Amino acid sequence: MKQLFFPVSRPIGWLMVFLISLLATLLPDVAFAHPMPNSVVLLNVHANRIEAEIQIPLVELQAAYGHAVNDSSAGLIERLGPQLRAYLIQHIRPQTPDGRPWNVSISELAVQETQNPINGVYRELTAQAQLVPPVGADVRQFIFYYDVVLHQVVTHKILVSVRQDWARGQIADDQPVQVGIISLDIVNNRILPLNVNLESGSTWTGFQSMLKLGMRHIAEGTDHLLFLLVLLLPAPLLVHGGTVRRFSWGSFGGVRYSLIHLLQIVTAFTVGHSITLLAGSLGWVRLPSQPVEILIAVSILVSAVHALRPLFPGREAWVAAGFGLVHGLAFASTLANLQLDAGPMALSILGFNLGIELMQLVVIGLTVPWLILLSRTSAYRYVRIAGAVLASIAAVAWVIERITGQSNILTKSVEQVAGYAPYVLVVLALLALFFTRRMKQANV
Amino acid sequence: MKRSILVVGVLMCLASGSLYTLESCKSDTTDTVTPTSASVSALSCGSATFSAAAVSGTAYAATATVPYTGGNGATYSAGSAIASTGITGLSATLQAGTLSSGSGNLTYAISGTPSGTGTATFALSFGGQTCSLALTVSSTGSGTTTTNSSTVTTALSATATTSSCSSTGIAQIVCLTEAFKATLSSMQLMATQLTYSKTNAQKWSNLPAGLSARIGINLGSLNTTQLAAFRNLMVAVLALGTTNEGYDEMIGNLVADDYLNTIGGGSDYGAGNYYLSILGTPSATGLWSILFTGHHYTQPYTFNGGSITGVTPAFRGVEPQAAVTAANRTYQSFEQERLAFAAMLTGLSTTEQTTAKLSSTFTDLVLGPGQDGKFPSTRSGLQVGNLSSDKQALVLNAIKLYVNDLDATTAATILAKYTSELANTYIAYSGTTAMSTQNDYVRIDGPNVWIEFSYQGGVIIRNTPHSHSVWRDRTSDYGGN
Repeated sequence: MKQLFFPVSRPIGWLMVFLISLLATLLPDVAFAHPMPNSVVLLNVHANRIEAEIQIPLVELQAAYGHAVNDSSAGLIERLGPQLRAYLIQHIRPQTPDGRPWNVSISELAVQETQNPINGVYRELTAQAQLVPPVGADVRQFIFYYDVVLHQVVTHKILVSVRQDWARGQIADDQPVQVGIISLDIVNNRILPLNVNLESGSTWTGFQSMLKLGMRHIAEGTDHLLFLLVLLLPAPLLVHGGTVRRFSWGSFGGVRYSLIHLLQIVTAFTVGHSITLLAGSLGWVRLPSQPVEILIAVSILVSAVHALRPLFPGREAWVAAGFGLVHGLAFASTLANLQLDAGPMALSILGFNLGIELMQLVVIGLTVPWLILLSRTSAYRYVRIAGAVLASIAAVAWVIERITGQSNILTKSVEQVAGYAPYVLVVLALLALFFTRRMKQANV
Repeated sequence: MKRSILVVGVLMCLASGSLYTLESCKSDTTDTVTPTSASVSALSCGSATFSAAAVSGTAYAATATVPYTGGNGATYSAGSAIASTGITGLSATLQAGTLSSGSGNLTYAISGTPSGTGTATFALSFGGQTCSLALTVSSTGSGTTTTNSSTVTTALSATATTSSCSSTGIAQIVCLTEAFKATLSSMQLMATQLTYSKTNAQKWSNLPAGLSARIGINLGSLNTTQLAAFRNLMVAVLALGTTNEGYDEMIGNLVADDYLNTIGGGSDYGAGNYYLSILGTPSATGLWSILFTGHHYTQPYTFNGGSITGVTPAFRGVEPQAAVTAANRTYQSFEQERLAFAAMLTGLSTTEQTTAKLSSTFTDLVLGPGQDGKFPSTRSGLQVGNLSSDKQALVLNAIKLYVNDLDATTAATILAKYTSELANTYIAYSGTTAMSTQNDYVRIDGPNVWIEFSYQGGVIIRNTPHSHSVWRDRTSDYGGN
């Protein structure tokens, strides 16, 4: 939910969620003891390799490796990049259960500042490592010989967790699952490797989790939902006016007219966002998230104004398709962040999109019958205007939030109101039934 | 017009493409030649920065960052030590690295103890360039002193009030514990009086209580009457009348934590965040214990069958290591221990030091909180029984600074045991023998006694080491439970 309200800082939001959950899940083992920061190894499990992010506190690395890496951390990668890579490869040695070594390479190195309540602010080295098993060996079972820092600093601890495991249905915005801690076996004064034995996953599990992710994305994506609903608001109505007069919304156009109209709009939106979801996930198109999120808010405003007074009568489907392209880009960023291989990515796009469609259908199925019922009554005018005005206010608030990067009182209220969506639906249904009944009585 | 733009564009593409190819050829050739020696076109000692300030007569360890320009991208290895001139006693050693192709920084590790106040100068020479690196050494700092007192430490450092418990031994401790309980409200009592269990007894830590929850009642919630009753109890179970040892060490520790509270540690720190719990019903016959625990101080007492069956695991530490003043008293609660270890280690011969030295590095204690019962199966280091009696006495001196924190009767019994086992006790260290540099570490490991001392990086006071220490007993931790 939250990431949709702070879309500009979505990755940061995830990082926060992740860090907090990391504290919650990983620290209890060590929180009551260790005033020195630990290393963290986060595994991203792919079908045939593991991408690991390794975080090493520089204060501990300096004690093990020297070269004043903590005291002089500015320009560290420029100064010691090749040596650090060689050092890491020497001390990160996963192997198969029968003793064959995996191939390890280190791509990106960076120094960043981090903090936690126990250690305060400290600097750490982050390394992106690629761990590749020998041909034919299982990526999910290995003996993890890892003694970076620990080979020398025996009080150091390394927390190993799985951050993403697509085939097990675990994605990076879930809580990392701890695999184990590598530390000195004090009694026997030795460093044991960590036996990693991940439960086997399947393509089906991965697909299912992406389906759920897509559904969750719409269920929690107030902005996407609001756009669609507001666009559907005038769909059952005929348009008055034309060449001479300004257009205005007229009366109910009939069930058949409404349904065809609705179907056109929803299909167009789906086609639009499917195109950019595919293009964005595959990396063909990549736009910064801020303008995309601003455009999404603008799309709500435009369709809200349209619901007040027809801006583009008869061309709703084209507009829905156009804005669908924008919404799809936002969906794509979720998938692109997972950095999956081609196969799982293709299934993810399919699953995620199906999830989105399913959830859209559910929402439409729940609201449209009442809208059609209501649109036959004279009260619909007020429902439509009230809905459009409220949506415009929310849209403007979002535009401001997404430009400034700061949430405001309105967007916070929308966040709260969205939690009551089922009640709003009940009220809508009651209104529809009440006015329909009154209309029938009046007709009798 | 359009056509000419197109032509220009194509030409530019071609030009940049060929440049790119040339560049990649160039880098190919540099990759294949044997590494050239490092060279720079200029060294800027004037723009150098130091990671810490130097103080006369105080051990100094820092790094200097020296900018250069015109680097040739070559890799260079660590240099040999360059002694300081002017103010002597320091040396600068170049750390290995790879030059940028252009400007970057060299890193020199500087260590030693400056001989006086003034400027220490190092004649640097690197990659065909030389320059003079100047480090300012200021006058001897008097340590961190501050006037700082909280209601808790003021109440606790007041003279003892007369206590109605005239009995002796365990009976007196039971009486004083009950007297303390009698001052508590029913809610406070409920928090303080808990059942005895190993799980409860293990709820201690070396983190501030705000970051690792304790059980029991915190001193910050007690009124002066209640604090006086707490004081009466603690002076009966700790040694009284020795500066910075026993009860005085405990006060000094709380004073230091109050200081951390005021200089940026915030409300997680301070004397008010130290907790007392009573596990099991106090009695002269049954199993029960007193646990006093806070950030840098944990002291348990386990009683069973009318005697004290355990006084460990006891944690001691302090930040800042330097003196802190409160209510007209200056405390330096854990400096004597550090100096005793330094005396013990520097008293050894070079050969003995080599045997005692561990190859590993320790940035913290090995058997800190949560590491119960994990004593190494093999003892490391130097066996005390092989040392001359004066050196053995130095080991015993260090042990005494822990054992003699307790009331005289309890201390005498434990010290007799540790003394009888001294010959089979081992000492080991890592880092320097002076116990004055970050990550210096020392251990005393006997048939029963286990004492570790770690001089580790500062948490609230950055770049300044502070001590952590734990006293355990291989058989009587938690009273053997």
